[in-house]
Amino acid sequence: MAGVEISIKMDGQIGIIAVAGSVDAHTVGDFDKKLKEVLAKTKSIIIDVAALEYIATAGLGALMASFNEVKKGGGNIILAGMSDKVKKVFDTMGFSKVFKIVGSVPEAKSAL
Amino acid sequence: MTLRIAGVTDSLSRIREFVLSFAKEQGFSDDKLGEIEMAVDEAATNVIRHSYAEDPEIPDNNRVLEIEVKGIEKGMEVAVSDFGKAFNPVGVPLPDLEKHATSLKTHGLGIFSMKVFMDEMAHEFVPGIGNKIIMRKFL
Repeated sequence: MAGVEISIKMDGQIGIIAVAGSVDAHTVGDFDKKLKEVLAKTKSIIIDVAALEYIATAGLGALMASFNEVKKGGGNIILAGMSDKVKKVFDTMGFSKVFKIVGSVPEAKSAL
Repeated sequence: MTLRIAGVTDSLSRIREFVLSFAKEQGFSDDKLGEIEMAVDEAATNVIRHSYAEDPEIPDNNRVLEIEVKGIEKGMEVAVSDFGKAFNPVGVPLPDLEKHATSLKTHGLGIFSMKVFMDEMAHEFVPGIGNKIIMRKFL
């Protein structure tokens, strides 16, 4: 998928953002907008990245800015279902040490 | 084989697709395909965001990118050419990743990804024309 598809749902106090496709310098605006939309409602966020095919450093930047915000509010962002390909980017850039990454959304719910 | 395309972020998916399709034909593993994809995407993004977007003097017909791919012994070469001012990413020092992680910043990671994901990287600048970033990846 060339673009990105992002859906949002609230599960009690938890905001769940599902991201599919590619977050690059072109689509990062949509990603950032959706992150902020959820941030306005809650500081407990799960990002379902199972269908995320590609993330550029622009996407990592948006993610880090939101992470900063939730941490200030005492919350957390947990990433769920990350592919090996995307995990490699997180590992290489040092972000695996910053974010909690789990296998699935249910696992992320119990970790929040 | 060369792709000449508008220097806008909307072109990025087409650039990745172009390079990936060639890299697949060369027999790169999925792991290395992901590395090539990111390095090229970041090289193009750098030009679009930091050269073309910040320099109003570049004429519109020069706001293009040329992506050239070719097979080399045991690998491939991809060159990203622009028509902006001189900028040599090869000379940019690598960021301290530990500091980045704790400072929650991502600035400089695009160039970092080009350097770590490709095996060789070189820069050429032709005055009056522009920059050419040449990156090589081996199988």
